Amino acid sequence: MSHVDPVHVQILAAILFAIGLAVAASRRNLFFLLMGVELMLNAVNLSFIGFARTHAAAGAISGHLSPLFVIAIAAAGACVGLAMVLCIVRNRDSIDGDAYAVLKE
Amino acid sequence: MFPLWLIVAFPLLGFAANGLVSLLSARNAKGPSVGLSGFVAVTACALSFITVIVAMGHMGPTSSLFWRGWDWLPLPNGWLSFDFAFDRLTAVMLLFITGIGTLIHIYSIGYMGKDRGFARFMAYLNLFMASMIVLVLGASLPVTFLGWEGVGLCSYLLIGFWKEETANCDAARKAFVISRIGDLGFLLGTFALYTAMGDQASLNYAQIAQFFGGEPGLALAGSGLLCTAAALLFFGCTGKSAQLPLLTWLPDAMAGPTPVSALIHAATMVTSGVYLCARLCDVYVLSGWVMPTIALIGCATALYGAIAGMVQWNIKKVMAYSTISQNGFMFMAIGVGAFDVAIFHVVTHAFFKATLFLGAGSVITSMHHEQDMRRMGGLAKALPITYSAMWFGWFAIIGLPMGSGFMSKDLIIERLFHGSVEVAGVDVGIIIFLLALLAALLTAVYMSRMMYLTFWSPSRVPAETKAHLKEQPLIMSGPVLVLGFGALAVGCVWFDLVPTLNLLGTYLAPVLGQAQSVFHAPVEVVGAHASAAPIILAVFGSVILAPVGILIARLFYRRGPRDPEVKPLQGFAKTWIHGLDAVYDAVIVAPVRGIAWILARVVDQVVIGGVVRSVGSVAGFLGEGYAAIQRGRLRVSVLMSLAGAMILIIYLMAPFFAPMLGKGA
Repeated sequence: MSHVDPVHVQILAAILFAIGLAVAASRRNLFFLLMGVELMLNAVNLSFIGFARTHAAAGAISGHLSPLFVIAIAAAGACVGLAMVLCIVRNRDSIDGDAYAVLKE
Repeated sequence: MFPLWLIVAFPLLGFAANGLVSLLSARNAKGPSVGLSGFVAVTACALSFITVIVAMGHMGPTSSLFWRGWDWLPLPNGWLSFDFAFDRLTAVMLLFITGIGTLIHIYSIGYMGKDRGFARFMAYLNLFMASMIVLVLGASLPVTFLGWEGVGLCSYLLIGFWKEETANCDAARKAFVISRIGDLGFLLGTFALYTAMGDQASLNYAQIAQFFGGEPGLALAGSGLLCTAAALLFFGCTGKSAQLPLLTWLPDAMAGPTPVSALIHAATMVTSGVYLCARLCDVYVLSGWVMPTIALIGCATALYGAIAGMVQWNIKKVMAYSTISQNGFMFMAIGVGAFDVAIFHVVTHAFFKATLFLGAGSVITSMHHEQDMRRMGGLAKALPITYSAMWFGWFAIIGLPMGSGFMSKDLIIERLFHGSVEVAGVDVGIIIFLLALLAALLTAVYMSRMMYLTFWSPSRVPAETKAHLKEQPLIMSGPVLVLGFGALAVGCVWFDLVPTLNLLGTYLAPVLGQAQSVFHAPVEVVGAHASAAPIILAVFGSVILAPVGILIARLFYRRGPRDPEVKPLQGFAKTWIHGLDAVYDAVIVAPVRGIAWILARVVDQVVIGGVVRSVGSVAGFLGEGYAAIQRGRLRVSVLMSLAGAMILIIYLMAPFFAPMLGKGA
C-alpha cells in the first residue's frame, strides 16, 4: 500500500468542506442545500480520521469514534431535515429555499 | 376574659350582611327590603349597646377589662398585639356612641328608607360604628389608628353617598384628603412618642400611662421629643376634630345625608380627637408648650366657628360650624388640663348636637330638601314634635340653666378661669377665659338666630311646599325626641354645684385623675376656690350670657332675615367662610401646583422623557439597520453564519498568530 501524506488527507477534507459550503450557499434547491450540509459533515469526518492516523498516540481512539457519532447524528438530522422539506413542499408547492421568506415580515 | 370583641363584632356582622345584600341586589331595580336591612343594622347597634352595658357591669371599681387578641406588629422590643381594653373612659365613650348610634340608625330607616341605596347606606353606617368602636376600644395607639382610618374611610363613603352629584364627591374627597394630612401627624406622633420612651418604649396605653405617670416620665417632662410627639398627635386631632387649621372639610361634609352629619360629623367621629388627648392625658400634662397651644387653637376655633355660624344661611352648615365651635371648647378644656370636663362636654354635645342635626334633617325632609333658612320660618306649628325636640337641643347648647350644655360648658369656663395658659412666659389664661365667654355668647346668638329663622319668624315657605308641610313619621320624630330629652337630662351626671352629684367626674377619676393632679389646674385647686367663684361664674356665664344672646338674635331676626332673597354669601360672610380655603389655596395648593408643573413639564417631559426617548430611538435605529440585513434568505443566512464562525475562529486563534506577526514585524 502506497504511502499517503497526512497533509493530503487534510487538504482533501478542506476541499470537500469548501465544495459542501459552496453547494449549501449557492444552490436554491433545498435538497442540494441538505446535500451540501452532508458533504461538509463528511469532510469533517475525513479530517478526524486523518488526524487519528497521524497522531496515533494516546487518545487517538476519539478521532475514530467521533465520526461514528457524527454519522449517526447526521443521519437523524437528515431524517428530520428531509421530513421538514417534504412538509414545506406539500404546503408551498416549491423546493426553492428563497421562496420561504415569510418570517421576514 | 370578657369577650370585648363582641362589641365590634355585631356592627361588623351587620355591615357584612347589609353589604352582601346590597351587592347581590345591585342589578335589581327595586332593591332589598327596607324593613329587613334596617332591622339588621339597628339590631347590630343595639346589641353592641347592650354588650357595653354588660361589660360595664363586669368591670370592677378600679380594674379594667382586657381582651387579648393576636400578635399583630413586630416592634424592636417584642410584638405589639391587637388588644382591646375597656376602662371607665372607654365605657363613657362607648355608651353614648352605641346609644346615640342606635337612635340615629332608627332615624335613618325613616330618612333614607325611600333611597334605592338604603342597604348600602346601612352597611356603611354599621361599618362606621365598628370602626368607631375599634378606635375607642383599642388598647394601643396602632389599634386606635386602625379605627381612626376606618372612621375616615366611612366618613368619605357617606359624605359622597349620593355620588351622582359631583359636588358631593368633591366634598368627600376634601374630607378624606384633609383628614389624611392630620393622620400623618398621628403616625409621626406615634413614632416620636415611641422613640421618646427609649428602652421602655411601648405603644400600649396602659404602659404609656404607667411610664409617664412615674419617674421615667417626669424625667422627660417638657423635653423636645416628647413635646414634638404630643404636638404631632394633636395635629392628628385637629384633622379629625376639625380644629384650625384643618377645619374646612367639616362644613363641606354636610353634603352627606343628614343622619351621617348627626352621627359622624357631630356626635362621634369629630370628637375622637378629644378622646385621644384624654386617653394620652399622662403624656399631655408633661408636654410643656403643647398644652397652651391646644388651648389657644381651641379658643381660636371656638370663635371662628361661632362667627361663621352667625353668617350662614344653610341650616346644616350652621350646625357644622357650631360643631367646630363646640369642639374648640373641648380643646380649650384639654389645654388647661381639664380632661374630665372635656369628656363631659363630648357627651353632652353628642346629645344636643345629634338632636339639633336630626331635627334639622326632619325640617329639611318636610321642606322637600330645602336647606336655606331664608325660605323657612314659622315651622313650629307645622312640625310640633321636631320643634319641641330642637327646642330642647337649643336650650341645652346655649347653656340655659339646667340644660346639659349649661352643666358642661360652665364647667369648662370655670376650669379656664382657674387654669393658666402660659405663652412665652406670660399667663394669658384670663384672655382665653374672656374669649371663651364671648364664644359662649355667640353660641347663644347663632343658635337663637337659627331658631328664629326656622321656627319663630313669620313664614317665608313657598306656597307649594306649605301645602305639603307635615310632621315626620314616628320612626323619625321618636329618636329625635328621645335625644332631645337626653340633651336636657344628661347634664345631671355632673351637677357641679352639688359636690355629691359629681357622678361623671368621680367615675372618670381613676383614669384621668392622676394626670390632672400633675397639671397645675387640678381638681383640688378648683375645690379650694369653690366657695364663691364658680357660682358667680355660672350666674354670669349662663344666666346672663344666654338670655343676652337670645335678645340679640331676637333684635335682628325676629321678623326673619332682612333680605329674604336667596343668593350666595357676600362681603364679610363670604370672606369669613371661604377665607380659610383661599389661604389653603395660596399657601399650599398653589406651591404644590407649581412644583407639580415643574415636575410634569421639566423633569418628566424633558429630563426623564428625553433619556427614555433617546434610549428608544437608539434601539430603533440599530434595529432598522439589522433588519436591512435580515432578508429571510436561507443562503444568506448560511453565509452569515459562516462569516460569524470565521470571525470567531480568527479571534480564538489570534494568540497563536500574534507571535508570528510580531516576528514578521
